Amino acid sequence: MASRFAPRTPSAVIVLLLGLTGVAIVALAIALMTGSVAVSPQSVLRALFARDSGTETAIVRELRIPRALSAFATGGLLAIAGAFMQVLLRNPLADPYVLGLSGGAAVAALAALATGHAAWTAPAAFAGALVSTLLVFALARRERTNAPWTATRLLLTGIVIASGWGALIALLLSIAPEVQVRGMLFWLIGDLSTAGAPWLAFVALAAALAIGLSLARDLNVLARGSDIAEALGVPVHRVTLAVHATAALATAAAVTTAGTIGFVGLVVPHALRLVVGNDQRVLIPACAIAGGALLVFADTAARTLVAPVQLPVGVVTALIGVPTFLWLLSREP
Amino acid sequence: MSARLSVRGLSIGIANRTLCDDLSWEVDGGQCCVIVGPNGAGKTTLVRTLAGLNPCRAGSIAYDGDDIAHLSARVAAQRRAWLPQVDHDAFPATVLETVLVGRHPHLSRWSWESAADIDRARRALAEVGLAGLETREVASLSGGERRRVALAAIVAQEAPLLLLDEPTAHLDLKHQVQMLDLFTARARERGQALVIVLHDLHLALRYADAAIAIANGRASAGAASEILTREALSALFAHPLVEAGDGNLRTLLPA
Repeated sequence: MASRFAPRTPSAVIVLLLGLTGVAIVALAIALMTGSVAVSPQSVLRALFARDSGTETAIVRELRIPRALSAFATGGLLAIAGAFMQVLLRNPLADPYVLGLSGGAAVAALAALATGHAAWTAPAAFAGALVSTLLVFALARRERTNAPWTATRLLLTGIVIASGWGALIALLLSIAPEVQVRGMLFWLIGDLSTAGAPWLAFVALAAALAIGLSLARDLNVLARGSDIAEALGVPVHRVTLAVHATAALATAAAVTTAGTIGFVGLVVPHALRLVVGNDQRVLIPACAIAGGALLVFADTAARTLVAPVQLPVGVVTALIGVPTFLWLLSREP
Repeated sequence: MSARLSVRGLSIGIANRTLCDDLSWEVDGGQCCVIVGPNGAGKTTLVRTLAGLNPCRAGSIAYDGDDIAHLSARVAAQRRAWLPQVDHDAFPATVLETVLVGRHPHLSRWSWESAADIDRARRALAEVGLAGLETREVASLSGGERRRVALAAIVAQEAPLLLLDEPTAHLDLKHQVQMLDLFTARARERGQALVIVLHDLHLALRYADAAIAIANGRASAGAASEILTREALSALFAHPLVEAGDGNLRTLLPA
């Protein structure tokens, strides 16, 4: 892809990332100002920086800031995890959920919801995500070879396990009490209205970004094939496992915060690749910021488009993302 | 850094099949060693084993006296470059980006390719005759041009030992000769050791100082004049060969 903007020097990368950060700040500002009560920019600034205890300040500080930050961290996590999976599996169709992780999280979370243990949804989702990941890796392992996990076997195993989880999800939805089904559906589509404190997601985002950046050039070489990478001095086995583990934990943190939001993890890395090229040193931080900004925009739209009805954010990410991605793809020479 | 490749008592195999047993030989800096043999004899596996990418059943391989079992992936990559028989790109990349990948073993974790690295990559592209194509997408090139991009990445890696698995695949006549001229000349100038898999017996005869013939679970190594004879190669390929031409143009043709 002749990415006209592909930066090759650290300073060009910083300019690009600052630009994306500007977009993210605009997205966050809009998120803090809009909603059932419109808050003026001055009031937002007062809520952020001044000692104040008015209603508007309370709305901004207690409702909108946590939710906007949750949205940002979740979007960043999903986009980074998607970028990782696409490189590790050398498959542009890979997303954070491709190895069945979302299914495992969903079955556990929906079981908690269906049985009326809503408070357990988040920890159940986290546990389900990790159990599913370990299951796929255990089943895909080939003994007695120097490459115990190949991309093809992982993909096939992940897809089959995901189908299994899909059947269990359908089963849970069909036997769950009527009153719980709406909440379960929202969780499945992805919804930030129940997101708690954003700190878990932010810590995960910072960790995933740090690990991703420290291995970024290794991943550039790995994208060319694991043999080539090994021959060029990448400790392929160690790097692959570290990045798989990071992607799994990042996705688990995102799913725990906001349910299984689709689309962000698949399409944000792709859209950015069309614009900035496939250098992971640029792509990974760009994914963190742009994925975050997209989800903040989407969540603001989900809260306001058909207010007072709140849409699940997963619906909006796809409604914004599909035309954007198709537009980027059509510009490709 | 000297480029000597030493192999002692090497045995390799796939599953239950032995590809070669108790092979010992050395390639010195400036020398070109050609590997010949029929399809499926184990040429690619042998080259991968020499590169440290496949385990060996027995024996040892050393770069300049250092057993590769004790070298980290990064140090090994500074000592030898490996050209795979086929390469495929899952993600789009420009020609220059692809060649710069060869500089990876020389860069520390947080450093970016310097102007000197980019200059090396550009010179490597010029040497394989692809100057001016730096910003082209690799996917938009022909098969032969892509092969030369891969060869430019090998040049840019600047390793003392080069292991090339069918470097002339997809190349036209002129570029086959140009690339082998380039690599053998560079090897002599810089004291690099070359190990090359070739199917074209004319090219093997023209460039080999030493040779390995591998077939039916056995490999023999020696000077090119001992290994690449009409009788030995007729037996190796199980097909009668006739000699033609002389000097630089001597070749063996299937009867």
